[in-house]
Amino acid sequence: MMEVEAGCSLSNLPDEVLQHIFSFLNIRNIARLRVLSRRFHTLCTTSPSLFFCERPLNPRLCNCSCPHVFNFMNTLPQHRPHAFKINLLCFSSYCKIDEHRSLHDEWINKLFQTFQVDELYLYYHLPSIFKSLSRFHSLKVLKLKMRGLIWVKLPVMKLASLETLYMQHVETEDSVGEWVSQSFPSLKSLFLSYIKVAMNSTKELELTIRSSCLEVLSMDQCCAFKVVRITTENLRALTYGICFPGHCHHHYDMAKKDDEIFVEISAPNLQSLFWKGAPTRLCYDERTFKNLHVATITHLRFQNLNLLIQLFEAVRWARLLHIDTDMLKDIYGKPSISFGNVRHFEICVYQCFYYYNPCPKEEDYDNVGDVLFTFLKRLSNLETLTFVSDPFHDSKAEAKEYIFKGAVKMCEKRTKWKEIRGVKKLKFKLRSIYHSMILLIGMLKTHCVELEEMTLIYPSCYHELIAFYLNCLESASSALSINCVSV
Amino acid sequence: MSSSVEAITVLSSDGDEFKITVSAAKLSKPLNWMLEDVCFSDDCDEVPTIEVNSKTLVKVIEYCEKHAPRANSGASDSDAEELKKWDIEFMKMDVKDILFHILMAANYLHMEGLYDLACQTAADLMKGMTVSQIRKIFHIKNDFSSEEQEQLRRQHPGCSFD
Repeated sequence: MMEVEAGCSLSNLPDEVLQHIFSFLNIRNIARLRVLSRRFHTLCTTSPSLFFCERPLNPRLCNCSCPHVFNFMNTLPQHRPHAFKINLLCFSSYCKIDEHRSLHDEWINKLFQTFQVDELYLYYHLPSIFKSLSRFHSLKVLKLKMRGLIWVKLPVMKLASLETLYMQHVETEDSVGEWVSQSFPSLKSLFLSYIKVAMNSTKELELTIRSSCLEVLSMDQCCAFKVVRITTENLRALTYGICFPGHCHHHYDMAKKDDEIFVEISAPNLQSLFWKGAPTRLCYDERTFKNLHVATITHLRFQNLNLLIQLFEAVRWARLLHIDTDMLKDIYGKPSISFGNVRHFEICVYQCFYYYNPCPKEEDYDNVGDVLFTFLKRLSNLETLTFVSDPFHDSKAEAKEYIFKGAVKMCEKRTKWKEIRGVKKLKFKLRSIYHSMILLIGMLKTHCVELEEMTLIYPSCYHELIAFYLNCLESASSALSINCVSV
Repeated sequence: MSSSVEAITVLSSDGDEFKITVSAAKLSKPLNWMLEDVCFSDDCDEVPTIEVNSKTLVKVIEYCEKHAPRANSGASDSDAEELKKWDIEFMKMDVKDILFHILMAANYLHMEGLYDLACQTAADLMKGMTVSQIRKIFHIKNDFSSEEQEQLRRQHPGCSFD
């Protein structure tokens, strides 16, 4: 143990410094510190950030920290009789014990009266929260996660201070979009996921976002709605996703649902777009993609390519991830598409039906090669080219190598077209190391004549292997700088 | 303040002189005020003293010089990533014995980034330690009477005192 000069005791720090340190700790850790000394006892029980969390345990296990929390809360009023300000209050519980649950309600209502809160995270099924929310006059950030079965009522309120709202696992009959825009007039960021509506509701299943101040909107897994309308003048970033990544068999069930959804966007100031999956029925006004800077499209799966074409003509950063090969073939078949604005391009493909066709044939790789070739030729101002491996954790080895084998084919076949002009930076994001990838790196090194920099991002366990391969490449040629980032 | 001055001289609490560039000094609010109020030129006699010891001031200035270019111009994501890595390394280096001083200095100099970083480091250190280890490393005296300790034990049966 190292020596510390006398006087350097943490006890000599001012309250505000210690409280700031506490804000980086969770309830369990803060609670432990109470027994350090008298001063810490006082501080810990009046800390401005309170995290009442259980570890994200399996909800079925009844590992409940409630008694601990109740003890903690009981010490509070003795120290600070008046309402005081805390920056962050987080309460999360999977508690299934009825006695505790009834206490939770009482306890949280007590919190409303005692504290003035900036950020409130409630990862807990507590429908009564909506009645009490308007009492938090200074609340800026609200996160709600209400995994449960009961429909919640969303009463309209006025909470002008709220800037950020997360809603997850909320099931309701009320119109979420209207509720948000009426209740929170200053809202800047809205994150919705797993919002469900009553299926037998007589109301139209429509989600309309019209909050005029909104700058960031994210919607994920909100597939119960038939119509989604986004009309926001100031929106800068939009994330839209319906399908569930990672499971192909889910994909196709979801695809059916996606096809039924009608999406309408009007957001003239949109700068960044992240699109996961895409409905066939998408509608946007002509101003919407004019200011777009970055577009990321994953799990693309739709017949009409107009969205993709318009996006790619607009953006400088394009990321095309988890794109199936059939989709790419469609793009390949449209020679009119030009992507002259794209400076940075990132691609990751998988074979559409690898679940049913586990062994790709040679011609499959040829297809990928053809498509890549067409892409690279049309991306006439490309500076950075990035290959991403392994779309899925559980995919088969052949599928993981898909993009690399395809690219190798491309390089092998196009003997007449040997130079990829303009590309200065080459990046590889890898989850493991393949022979084909090494081959590809070697080939691209010779094809990309203007290449200045190459970056490999890979898991740290492959460090030695990468070093070995790079050594082999290094001896081959050139003053190219190669960066390796292990993660 | 004349715009030609690029670096200023400050004194540590131990009386040593340190040079700090103007852009780096701007990371600290008090230093920034000083820059506006006082004339820092070579013919100016006044050298401001900073109530931070030399050992700590070296680290603080190192941090400022590293972070200044980004704070003044805004930077790309890759820069931010690189800085983050640098921060982690910065806090790794035998910093435990001067962490206390860095916390005080960052608070005194109103340097948000360094303050957060130091607090985070202190918090991370605490996470992995037992109560008695925390007492030892951060020099905290257990000033509970035996009755109080007994009472705490009863109130919070889950808590460990050692």
